[in-house]
Amino acid sequence: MSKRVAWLVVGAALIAVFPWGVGSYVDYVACLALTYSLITVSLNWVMGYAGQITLGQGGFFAVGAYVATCAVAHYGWALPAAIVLSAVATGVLGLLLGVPALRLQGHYLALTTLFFSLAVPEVIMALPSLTGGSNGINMPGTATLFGLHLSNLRAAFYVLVVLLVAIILVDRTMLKSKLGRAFMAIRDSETAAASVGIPIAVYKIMAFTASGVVAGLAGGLYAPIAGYLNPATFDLWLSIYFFAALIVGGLGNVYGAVIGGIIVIALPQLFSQVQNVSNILFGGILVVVLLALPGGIADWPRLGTGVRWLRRPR
Amino acid sequence: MAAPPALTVSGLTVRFGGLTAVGSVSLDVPGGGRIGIIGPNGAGKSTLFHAITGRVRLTAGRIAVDGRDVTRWSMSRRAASGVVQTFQNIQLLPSLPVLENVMVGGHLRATYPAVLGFFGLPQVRRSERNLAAQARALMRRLELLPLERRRVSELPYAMQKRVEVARALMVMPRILFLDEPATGMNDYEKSFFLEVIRDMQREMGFALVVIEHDVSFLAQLVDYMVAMSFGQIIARGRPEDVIASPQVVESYMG
Repeated sequence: MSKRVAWLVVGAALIAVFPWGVGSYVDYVACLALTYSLITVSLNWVMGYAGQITLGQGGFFAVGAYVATCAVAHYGWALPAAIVLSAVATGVLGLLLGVPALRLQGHYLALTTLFFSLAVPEVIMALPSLTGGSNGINMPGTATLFGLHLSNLRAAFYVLVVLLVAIILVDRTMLKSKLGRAFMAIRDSETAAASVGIPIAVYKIMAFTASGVVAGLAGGLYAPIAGYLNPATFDLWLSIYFFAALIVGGLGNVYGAVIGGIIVIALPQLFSQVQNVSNILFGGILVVVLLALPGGIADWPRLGTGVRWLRRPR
Repeated sequence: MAAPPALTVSGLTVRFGGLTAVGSVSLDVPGGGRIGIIGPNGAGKSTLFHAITGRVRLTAGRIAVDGRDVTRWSMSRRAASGVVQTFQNIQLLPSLPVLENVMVGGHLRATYPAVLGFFGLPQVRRSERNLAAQARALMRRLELLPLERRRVSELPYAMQKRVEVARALMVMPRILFLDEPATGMNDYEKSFFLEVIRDMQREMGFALVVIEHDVSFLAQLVDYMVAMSFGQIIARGRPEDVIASPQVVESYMG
């Protein structure tokens, strides 16, 4: 038994007992944090690996949540099928959102995807017969995932942990394939990528599509956990939080993405007593983290260089 | 009828705004041939390369690989047809280790559908193992093997140039274009490089086109030379004749 296995066992045991050791409010926050981690991991595929700036992740999340809820509430779909439908829908949207990335870069691409995230709640508001408009919509309490009621937060916690671990494994596997290499080649040098025959357009669209699928899955799972959806939940802030989570956690690092997703949920909880200034405090902390660790929290082995940089600004 | 040349360039012209970088250049590269290109800075050598490999759009002209018109093909599609180049300003993947930088050259020979890369299926693993073995074989030839796990951004310039050549060879080129391969190399590195590239060319059978300022280095590598000045070919023929031709001497002096 190596040290690594021992750590894995200890970690797994801690995660397994976690929902039993805390109150239901913390359980809810933990489920939210895991959902955010999933979405930040998916964002990392587009931004961290393929190097395309996007603010569209909040839009995918919203569409995923609403598609699952509408499929169950209006059309009587079984929850697993509804969640698959969410992933397919956001995959298609990801594919479409990838198309501008073929012509646009940097700020222009960010702006295009930002408008996507802005448009989604507007569209939800514009379709009240389907989405409930500003009144919101309820996920029927009868919906179960293979017998599990996800409104039971302990069950939801375990489902999310399993999905997150699975996606992390997919992430690690992908990086060791031609797919991961092609993404990173496009990020580092499109010229280099093209010079070895990588069809850049195809891979950019694949990154957006895969990212959309995972964010949609997360949205589909979030719907029964929350039980109620309201367009106000899915404003532009959401996309900015995912973006911030990835930058703070560490662009291009799956564990950084996981940590970032947890932090953007957990940190504001600490200042819940001071609601009106929580975003200011949050922003301040982000700035300090990024000054100390320009590569994000996943870059912690280089903390020394960041701290030196703080002491003597160049 | 004789086989068509590996590469046929006819009337290739590249204009940037009002500036003619390359003006109606025609050039045949026979299969397995070795051609050197010399000329002063700004003569249009790199632009000619970029137009042939698809990095730069040509204003006029035609490019054919093995008799097939590729003029309208994208850079990646031309690479797939065997037209591969290294760059004067090295284009590596700085955040990745040397091994991955070389393996990315085998992208087209990874036989599985890209989507399967998300899942660790046996066919993916097998294909990746093969690519890694091929990459390591090339890296051994270029004496890069001990640097396998190092990020390329940590390597000295001359080593980075070797990594780029290894990646280009990994594509299994039909015609390989090297843009100033010897720049930044010392005499030992130049003679090492000369030997490796000659051996690899003999074994793999690709045609070689090389831009280089070090004319004596180039003369040892190629058996045909082209001199360019102001976007035009001003002399062509055997290396010693081209180097000594009055037009070439004048373009360098003048």
